[in-house]
Amino acid sequence: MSKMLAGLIAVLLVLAVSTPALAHGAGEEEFSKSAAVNLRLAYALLQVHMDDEAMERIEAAASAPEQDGIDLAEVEAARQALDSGQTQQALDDIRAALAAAGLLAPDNGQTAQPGQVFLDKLAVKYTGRPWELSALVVAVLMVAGGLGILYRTRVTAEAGLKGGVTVGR
Amino acid sequence: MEDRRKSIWQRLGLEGLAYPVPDHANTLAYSLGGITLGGMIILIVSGVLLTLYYNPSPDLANGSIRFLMTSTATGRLLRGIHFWTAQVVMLTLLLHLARVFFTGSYRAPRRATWWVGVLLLAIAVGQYFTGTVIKWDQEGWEALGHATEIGSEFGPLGAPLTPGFASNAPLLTRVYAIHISLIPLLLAILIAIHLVLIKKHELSPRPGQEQVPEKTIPFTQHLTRLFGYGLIVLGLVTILSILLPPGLGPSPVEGIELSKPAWVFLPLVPVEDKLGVLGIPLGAGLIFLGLILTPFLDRAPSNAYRPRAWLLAFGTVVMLALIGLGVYAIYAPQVSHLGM
Repeated sequence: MSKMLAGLIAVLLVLAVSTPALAHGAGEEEFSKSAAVNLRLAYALLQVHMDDEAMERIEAAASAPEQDGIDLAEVEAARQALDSGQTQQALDDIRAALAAAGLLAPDNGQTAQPGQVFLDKLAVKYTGRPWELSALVVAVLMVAGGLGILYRTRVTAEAGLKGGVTVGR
Repeated sequence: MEDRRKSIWQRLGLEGLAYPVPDHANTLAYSLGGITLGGMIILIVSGVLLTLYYNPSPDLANGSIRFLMTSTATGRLLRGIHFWTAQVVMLTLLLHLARVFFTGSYRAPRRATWWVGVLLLAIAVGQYFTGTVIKWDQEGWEALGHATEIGSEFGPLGAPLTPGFASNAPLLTRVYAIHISLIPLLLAILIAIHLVLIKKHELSPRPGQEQVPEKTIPFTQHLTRLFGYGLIVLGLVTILSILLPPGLGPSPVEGIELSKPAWVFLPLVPVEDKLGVLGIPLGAGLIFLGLILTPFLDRAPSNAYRPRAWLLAFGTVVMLALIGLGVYAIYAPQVSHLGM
């Protein structure tokens, strides 16, 4: 059995190291025909500080064949803002360009329509509201109740086990 | 009062649950499987409630979760409980696996119990993965992109993971259907088999204690203790859900790979960096193959630690290597794997 296992692992390892073509995807740069897609990519790239790649996407958006409703003046403004190092301004301009085409979902997240997108992370945090405090109290009581049950079962077990004796298996 | 309780128990046939189990069943290490099962019950209840608000259409999925989190009274808490319980279940599942490995509980006559457990682990990882996808932010889309690319490499076997399998239904919708129906059904069946096998072969003895008499307790007392652990888990995940609620990323956009996967999959990232997306099934396959073969590799005469020292050492090295790979993946630079 151990020889079979060693053989199988060897085959898998040979297979793994002999397939360099599988590594790291295609690697070729292809720009979407959609200005909206390129702008969304640019927005995502700017958020992780990949400014050069974002600039390529903004320029691709400006010359993309599909530009339905996108505000090209805002696209150009985004390009200029990024060119002068104003990342936040570029982000705002991209938002404005997409909003002009009705592609941007409202900030409150309540009235998004098909085709509309959310560009930003929805970050939530503890605010100390009454319901949060009440839920915290209930949660702490649950933990305390659980600990109480663990303590009680331990005491019961130590007080005298009645189940008999198990010998071997 | 006591008579009434006994009468109810008798009529419901619950007295049969008071069969004897070894005293060490009540230790934390031997309760991890039960705690995992308790966590799964929390996941089912919270998941059923979440389905009332979730829209599995790619256009509306992300927005429906935002609506749940921002416009409903308890949606944020509910999603937080589901998210954090999933983390706890994966953690206790892996710890349970480690406990069974180190105590030699996979040995005969409990081999089938071990194999069903390994299958349960694989399906639970699949459930965790589909849960990652259906939140439908950039991380979710990239996770699905990996599955699609791997699926396309496996021909007909991987076809259900590709968009072309049923062009009239979005892949996200199919993944959601798998998450809420197929996988829970498989889990329920396999858990039932796992429990029946545990009952039939009894709880495994402690290492080196196979021939040592041990006191027993009624199984009902073990159940009571598991209920206590369950309450603690529910309380802790509720606290985490309030203080550290999970956020949600932006709507996904194709053509870019910016995120790293959830912690469960991190050890496979360096392998994928080296070998491409096929490194994922290769790495995972090797891990599961090792787990399946474990009972055959253990030829020791008893379940004591010393006779199994080499296997335990090997298992420890593998475990540390996986943890090391995961930590490395956190700090390693982002590598694009998808052929977009």
